[in-house]
Amino acid sequence: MSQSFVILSPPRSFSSVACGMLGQHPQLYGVPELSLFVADTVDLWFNHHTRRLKRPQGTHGLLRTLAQLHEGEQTESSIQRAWQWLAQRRDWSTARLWSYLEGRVAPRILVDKSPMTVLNADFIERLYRYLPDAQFLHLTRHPVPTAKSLAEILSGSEDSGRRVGRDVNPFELWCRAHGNILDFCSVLPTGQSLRLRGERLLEEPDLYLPQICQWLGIRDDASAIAATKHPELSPYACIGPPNARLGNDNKFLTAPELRPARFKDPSVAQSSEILALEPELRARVLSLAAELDYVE
Amino acid sequence: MSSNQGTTLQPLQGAAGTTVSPDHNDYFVLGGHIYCLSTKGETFVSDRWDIRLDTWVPFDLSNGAPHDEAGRVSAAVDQSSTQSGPFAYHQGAKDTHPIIYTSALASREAPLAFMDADGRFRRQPTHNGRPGPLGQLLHSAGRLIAAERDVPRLWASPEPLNGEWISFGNPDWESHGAMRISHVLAHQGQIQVVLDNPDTGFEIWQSDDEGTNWVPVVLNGAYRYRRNAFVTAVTVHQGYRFLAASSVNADPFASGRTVGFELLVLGPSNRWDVLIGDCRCTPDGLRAPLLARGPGLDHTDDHRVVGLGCTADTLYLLTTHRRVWRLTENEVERLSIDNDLAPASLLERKGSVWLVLGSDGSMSLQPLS
Repeated sequence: MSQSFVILSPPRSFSSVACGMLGQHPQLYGVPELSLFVADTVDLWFNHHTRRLKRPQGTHGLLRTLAQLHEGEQTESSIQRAWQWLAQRRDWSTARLWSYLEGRVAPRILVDKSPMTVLNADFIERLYRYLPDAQFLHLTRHPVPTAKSLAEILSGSEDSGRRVGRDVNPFELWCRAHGNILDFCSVLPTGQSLRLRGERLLEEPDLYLPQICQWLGIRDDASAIAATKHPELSPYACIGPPNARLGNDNKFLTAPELRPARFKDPSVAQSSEILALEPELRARVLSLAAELDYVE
Repeated sequence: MSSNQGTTLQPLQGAAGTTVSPDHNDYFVLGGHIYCLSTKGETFVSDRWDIRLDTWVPFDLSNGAPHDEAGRVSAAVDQSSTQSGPFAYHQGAKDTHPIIYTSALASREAPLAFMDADGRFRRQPTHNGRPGPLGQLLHSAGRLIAAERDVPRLWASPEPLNGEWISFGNPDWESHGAMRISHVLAHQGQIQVVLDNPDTGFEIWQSDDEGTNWVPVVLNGAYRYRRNAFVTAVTVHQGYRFLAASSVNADPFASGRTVGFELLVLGPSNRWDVLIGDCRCTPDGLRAPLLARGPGLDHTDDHRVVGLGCTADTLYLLTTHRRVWRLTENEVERLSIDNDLAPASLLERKGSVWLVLGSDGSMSLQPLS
């Protein structure tokens, strides 16, 4: 059994609900988006989110996690104390901070999903340097609905806590993220990564959740699986206090329950959104969609 | 010849005295001998590997096709051989002895050829121009079953010399992307076909011996989808079918992100497992590689298996990068043969084979595609 479990996916690919579900397993502990691996130290991590991206919402996940683990609640005052605790450890490496969190949740396994990590190959490389023995779940979603959802973030119409660049085409983002993940997973030893279509997980959780548990080497009995079907019971599955409201996908935070789902994949080749792309990007999307098994 | 832990590997240049064409040769192991069937001009030629002489020696076909001790000549290719191929033995009701059939790829009007009494190669015209060029032949239940080379279509004929063929079931494989039938197998009295499907991954379908009730056995490239579009080699041993699958068929230098091949096994009940390859979720449950080795035996540059061979407890595979691997229940071992072949020689040696002789005298062959 590995000590770390990381879900790799672009934004808007069901990773919030997947992390919320798996994080409720009695042997796992799901946290909001920590986005730790964007920097080597806590100080640089802070600067990255607040000064470089100018999105302090990127720190909410870690603050909520620290508040919850330290005080068992997420309130304005506990978040404030988490800030102070963090400020006193600005020289810590982010690897040390990860280990600290692992120790706090032990013997449960920390589950992280931070879409920001997969948008930059350097971030993924840092993730692997710090967590070489982690197990990585590559979660995918059809490019067309992903791009539509990403467009909401990119247009700034939604309070997402994420910043990915307003001038970026959402399909470009989808390609970049999955390309980085595929390149990364291709060099891992067999069994260290597992790819799953998010649509399948949400359509048939009773079929696929036990398989993920078997792959992780944790319990897959009925009570363990039943627990994973209640992501809404996570202490992080809600809007946080005013000074750390987010830390996860806004849509998940406002409606975290697992609902019966049935997806009808739109045609990749016939999609008007994909047909409208520049030829080079269109070819990349089509090729990658096929590689990720989104074929008609 | 080089040795490695009791196993001897030797590249062979093709059967002695024959002009070996990749489309017209077949190798099979029967009764402790290795046979090579090929066509030389208009003549069938058979050679047999002589262990004592360490070479091929001509085998006289005029006394009939090679057969096992029980005289079951018809079983030679589809059950005892290391691979099914374009050669098959069949005896129609009016035939006095089994006849060797093969495909005549150059002829659309006469896609089937057979060995006449004088040992000559004869083409057999068919009625209505059907079937088209043939890629696979199999004798089963008193009929010769033929798979077309260019389309996923099967035909059957109890008396091929009459030129009459009937469609053998044939679900609409083509409409959902299946490109061709790569292998035809007999399994527990039923017929199985392996279909190449570059869109969704290879498929295996099974029917009764009348071809009337086809059901899928494996779909979507065993849920590796396009990364298992093609089955490039098959070998059968004691009801277990070993398949090598990959995203690449003929071109080992195809563009795109490279992925290694997988090796799969179908048990007698048709349950499939991954011997080497990717871990994945499937509707049938989690599948993790039984031998804990990744695609291409952890070499993503190793695209394709070009030959499989099987003995009682060992599976041999030859890959595009001139690597021979020996797989046993608990061990995966790479055999050292790199020094035996110049780097560029693989693709130039079409028709030649690797012969693998085990320390126990067992033999297997890996054709070089």
